[in-house]
Amino acid sequence: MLESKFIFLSTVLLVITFAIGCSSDVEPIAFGKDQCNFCRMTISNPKFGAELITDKGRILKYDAAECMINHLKKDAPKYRQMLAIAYDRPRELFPVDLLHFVITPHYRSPMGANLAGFESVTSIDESIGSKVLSWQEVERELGLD
Amino acid sequence: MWKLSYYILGDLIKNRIILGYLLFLSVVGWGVFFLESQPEKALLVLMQVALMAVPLIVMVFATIYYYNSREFILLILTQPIARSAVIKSFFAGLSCAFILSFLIGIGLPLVLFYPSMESFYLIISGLMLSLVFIAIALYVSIKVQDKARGMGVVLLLWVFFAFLYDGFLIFFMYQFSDYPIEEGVLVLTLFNPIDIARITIIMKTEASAMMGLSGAVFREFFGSSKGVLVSLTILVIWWVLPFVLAGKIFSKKDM
Amino acid sequence: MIVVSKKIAAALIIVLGCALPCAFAKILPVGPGERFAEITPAVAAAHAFDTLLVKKATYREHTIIINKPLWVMGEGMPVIDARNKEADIFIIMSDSVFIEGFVLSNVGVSYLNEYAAVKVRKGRNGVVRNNTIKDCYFGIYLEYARDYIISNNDIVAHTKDESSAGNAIHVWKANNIEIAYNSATGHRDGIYFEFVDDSKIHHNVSFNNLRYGLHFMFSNRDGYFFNEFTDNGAGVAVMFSKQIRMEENLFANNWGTASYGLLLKEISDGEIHKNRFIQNTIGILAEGANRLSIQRNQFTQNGTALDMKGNCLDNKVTHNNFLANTFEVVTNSKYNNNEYNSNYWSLYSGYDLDRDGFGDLPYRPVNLFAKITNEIPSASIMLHSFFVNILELSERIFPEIIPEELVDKKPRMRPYIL
Repeated sequence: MLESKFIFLSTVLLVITFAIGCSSDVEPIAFGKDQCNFCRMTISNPKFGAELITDKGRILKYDAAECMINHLKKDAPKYRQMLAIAYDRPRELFPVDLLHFVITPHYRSPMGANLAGFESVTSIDESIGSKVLSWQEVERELGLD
Repeated sequence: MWKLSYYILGDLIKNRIILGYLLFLSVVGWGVFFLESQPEKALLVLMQVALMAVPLIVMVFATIYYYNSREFILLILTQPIARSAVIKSFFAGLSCAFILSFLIGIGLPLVLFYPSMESFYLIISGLMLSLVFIAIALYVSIKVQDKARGMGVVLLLWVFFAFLYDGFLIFFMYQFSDYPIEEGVLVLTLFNPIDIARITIIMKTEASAMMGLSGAVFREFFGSSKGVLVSLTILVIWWVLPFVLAGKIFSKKDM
Repeated sequence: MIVVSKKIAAALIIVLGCALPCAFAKILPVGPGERFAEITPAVAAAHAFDTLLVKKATYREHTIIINKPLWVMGEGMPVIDARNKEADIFIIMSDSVFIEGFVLSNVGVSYLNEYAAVKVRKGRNGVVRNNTIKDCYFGIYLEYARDYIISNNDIVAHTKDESSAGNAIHVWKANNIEIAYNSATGHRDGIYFEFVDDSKIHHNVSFNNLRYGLHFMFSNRDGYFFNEFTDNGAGVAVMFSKQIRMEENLFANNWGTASYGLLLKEISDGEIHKNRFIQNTIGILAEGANRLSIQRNQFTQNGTALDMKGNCLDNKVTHNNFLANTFEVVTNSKYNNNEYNSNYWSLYSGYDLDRDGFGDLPYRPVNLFAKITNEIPSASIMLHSFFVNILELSERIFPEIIPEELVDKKPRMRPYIL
């Protein structure tokens, strides 16, 4: 009697816990507060940043897309989704496949890869004459296979 | 009813163990501020006392006191007094005695040497924990007829809340550490009055910074006024619930 | 505070040496009632190696492009007010330029360009000194510079929001720069170094900046001495750099969830000597730091004095004082690849029967709780819980989880006088 009660109670607890715990979604980056998961710096420039959602729903934040790539290169965490901030839409995270990237010293990203993502191709400064890259091309460029 | 509470309180004040409790709290509460130059550290020491020693002593004493007063209770029950009034007076008398001791022993030095939000929350938590564990002790001692067994149950409960529960929690977190379990853990901590009290106090101290980034979820909840309200409410439930249950059993029980 | 430096002397000799052959180097007075009412036309009229003497007044100018060697000197601290325009005040595009004695104010915040009070676009042998820079987006900004001296500048801003803050002193791709006796406050980073080699930073004060007091990236063979970094978002970050010397600095009051006195990330062969770390959430946070010598430092009242991640190798932590820290050493590894020796640990409670000044029992300074939270971040909620305290105690006696060989075999009995 007592045992069955106990088992029932713990099941209820676990269900509650997971119902609350597993509702993981894209989480906005708190600039000036959050720390980059790879380089440990405070994430501060709202035009750069990235987020990785792991296969189990944990959210990892980065101060620059190159930090996310470096983390993938180093520890290869399994992930469900990759997001990055668009230079032309500060603070907003987009799935990386929707973004257009350029690598040029014209846009100095926080960790020195000079990589910036754009939501719209038209907002890339044309005078710099850089090639517009897809995320796959960026990965190849920065040595992530 | 008031007369009876007053009488019980009078009896308790003369009790050597209550005096000992008052002395113990006073020595720690006043002494720690004389020995420790950093008030923040003193607060952490007093927090351990409020979280560990207070529940233990309160529960053990309340249990013993109830068992020892059984003959007196039988005598009272022969009088035209409602049973619920008897148990209420018991609870009121015990609560007054312990709350007074805590206020004098720990509350006063905190207010004098370190008047701050942290101290305020520590005092509130200490008082709430006293009430919670008196209620639990009364419930156990009314429910369990045998004195030795009742004592054992009370000690086990203390070990569970003060120690084992946290161990289980860490084990749980370890098993599911790859998942975003922060919110789940937060809910689980609400089931332990000692954890609620501990976290509420820590959130007000500078030490909360040491919880690092992973503490953000907890800080957001327990740091907000909504969180404080929720945790206080749950603490109130934690003492009202065992008390009401105890009252129910007491009024139907064959003495 | 006069900086007597070889570099100033060298720069002077170069300026004079070049000026003497022309022998006609003139002084051009600028100011109300003078030949030039404003600075910009004076610069255009000046010849190389002339001196502009700017009289005390308020000049509403910006984008003053200096493209020839010039000495631009303020007399009685004249003010140049950019009135929150999105533009630089001085743009230096030549070697041998001196900017001295101005109050430069109100360079506007821009989200597209990094506008500064003094911007050096390219050049060598220049000096920027004795200026007050007030409420400018960036203060002094150097790129592609060599042999520069930045000294005695007072750089103040009142930025609240990190996204609209620039750096007080920003140096990018430069060589042999000396930054001394400046004060930097209210910016994003007090001093920012990226790709800067063979440079010195000394006697600066950097406080109340939103992110870092000093930020170092991809810079080698630099040194910083006698600086004070207090009340910043975090103290100092030294990342992806080699052979950096850090001596006699103060890192204090960097308190917050993601805060630390000194962050060492992917750096090697440096020296960290005689610094003071006081009341930081973490004194030193080291990740991927190799072959550093951490000696004769003072760690006082930090949350965690030293957080040494498992990927740190061959560091020597010796002869330091650890006083009244909550956690002394934290690591996420079961193994220890660093040397801890002859430190004073205030949490050590051994005895010294042979009276050699060192405790007879070895000391394990590692904290278990921090190790647990490293693996299970959500366990941070168990801070100061009774269960954890008991585990802590038993771990110190029978190490099971914490690295067994992380031991100071000669814990000092009394603190060093540093």
